[in-house]
Amino acid sequence: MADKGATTVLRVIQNQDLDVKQKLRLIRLRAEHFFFGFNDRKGFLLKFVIYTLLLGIGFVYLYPMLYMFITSMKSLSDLLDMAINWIPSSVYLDNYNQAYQVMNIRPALIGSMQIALFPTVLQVIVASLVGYGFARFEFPLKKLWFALMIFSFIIPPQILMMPKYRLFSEIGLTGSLSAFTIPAALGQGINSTIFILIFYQFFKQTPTSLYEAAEVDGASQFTSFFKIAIPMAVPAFIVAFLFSFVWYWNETYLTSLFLTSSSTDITTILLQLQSFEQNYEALYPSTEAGPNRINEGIKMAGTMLSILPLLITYFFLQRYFVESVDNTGITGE
Amino acid sequence: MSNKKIIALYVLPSLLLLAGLVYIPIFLTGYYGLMEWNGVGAMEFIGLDNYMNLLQDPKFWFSARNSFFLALFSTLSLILYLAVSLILAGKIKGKELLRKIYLIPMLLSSVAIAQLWIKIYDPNNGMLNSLLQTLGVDSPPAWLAQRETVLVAIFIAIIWQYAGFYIIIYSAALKGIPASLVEAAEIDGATPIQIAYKIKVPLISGVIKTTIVLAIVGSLKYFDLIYVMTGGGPNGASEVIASYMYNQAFGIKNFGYGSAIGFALLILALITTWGIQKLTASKNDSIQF
Repeated sequence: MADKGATTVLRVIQNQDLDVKQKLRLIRLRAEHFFFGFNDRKGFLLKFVIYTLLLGIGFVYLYPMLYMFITSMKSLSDLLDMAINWIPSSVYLDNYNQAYQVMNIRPALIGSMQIALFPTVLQVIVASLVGYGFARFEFPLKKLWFALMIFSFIIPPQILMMPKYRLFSEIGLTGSLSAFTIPAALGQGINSTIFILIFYQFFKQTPTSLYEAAEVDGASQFTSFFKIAIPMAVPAFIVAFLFSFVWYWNETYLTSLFLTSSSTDITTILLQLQSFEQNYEALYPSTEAGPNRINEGIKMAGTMLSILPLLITYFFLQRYFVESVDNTGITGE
Repeated sequence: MSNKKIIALYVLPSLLLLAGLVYIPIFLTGYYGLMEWNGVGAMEFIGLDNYMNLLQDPKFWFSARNSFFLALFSTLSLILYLAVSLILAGKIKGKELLRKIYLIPMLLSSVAIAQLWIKIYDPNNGMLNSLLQTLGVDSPPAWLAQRETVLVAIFIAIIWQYAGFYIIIYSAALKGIPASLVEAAEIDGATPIQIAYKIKVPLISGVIKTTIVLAIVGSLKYFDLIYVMTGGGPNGASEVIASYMYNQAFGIKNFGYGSAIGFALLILALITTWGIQKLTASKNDSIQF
């Protein structure tokens, strides 16, 4: 590419019909096109800046993952060796073995799946309905309801903890999955307001002409919702599902409040991670002969195990996220 | 089925529990603010004393100032997120991979993120100061332990945490823009920057407005990372309203005063949200193709 630029400059200089001023202007133009781009072709400099920026930011975002992954592979001697920073001397998988034992993985995984999946499905369905209602219909006091809905997001959850816990234990929801599914089914799950707002925006963006056309063809409100609104908002559904799943999965405040304080078998991976150190001490008591101390590598292996299911869900959904948009035909017309 | 029934069916689920879970506790919070109460023992009615003290409490106003800075910072960072989303919507090699990478912090719990950034900011062998030392800075700051740097250090971690959330919302919105509009502009000779600024951004202005509300309101009640990373310290320098409230109510068991702070936070957030609505109301918030 640089070669081509140079030959054009040569050709401009050799051109006898132009005076010096015109020649300089032409050279400047060519250079500008080369560095800053022309129409849809991006210039070399612009491209370079963009890619450096994106990759730089990318590294800052990838760093924690790499750090966690590599530390989880380090044996004790590697951890203590200051010279070993990025590449462990050998792949040491015993950390994972120990973390697996400590975290009680099988019941914890089942608990986490239940608490993340069921409320998420309910929450996404309800949020899409509420968002659709606000986006498509006019009804009395709509502004007030909308303001109240946003208002419920403003309130710091810490304020509501005490009254909520009292209410839930009085009606017997604590210690069971219902403490999560029932609020989610009524649009009061974790960050429901955010999802309602996302759906509201997506349904507002759908051209009204589509609904009008469907109405003319005799479609009922339900048909419009299922056949027009939902296909147009598939990206919103994926985004809402993903975030809701992640937020429920990582929730420790509510889970420790509702699950550990009363007698229940349900436990989650994040709760296990929270009490990782105590559980480790209980499982591997330090004896005089061998002080079996917990180390950074084992902790990181535990953290890796806790986010692995999220990573799998995410990479699966990300692919679907791209395909869904192509299938809706939004981009076509 | 009549229209009214359908409307009720769509909107009612959210309103049913709303009263029980949200609005009654709000009134309770305002009511507890009138009490001298340690959270478990007997309450004693002291009238408006908590609220009067609050108005004259320099620590409260300082935490309110910090919350305001965080809101400003988060809103400005939306520009960065939007720019990255617009670039990723173009013909960039490896954009799917990059988008995946930017979302990683959203997968981590707040506690894990806080511990990670504490390691990065470690004054002795943290990544940041090691880098600064190799670049020739003699005495780099002890980021989280110094009054001057602690806020910026935490804000950067928060921006880092939420980038993926906003980028994916913007990306989803950008994908909804009909390709025909962009193609028409390209045929007319518009540059990518013109297309981004004159076509794409106006078309997703509704989503942008929503994210502004989310960012500001989310900042006002922000708590997680600050609580784990510094607990509001050193010496209250990184205290925000929510952490101050938590420290008062659950830390030193001054539940009445904590409730008063919570109630003040509500009023502040309400005024702010109302202000945003008023400021953006003049623009048409729905776009018809």
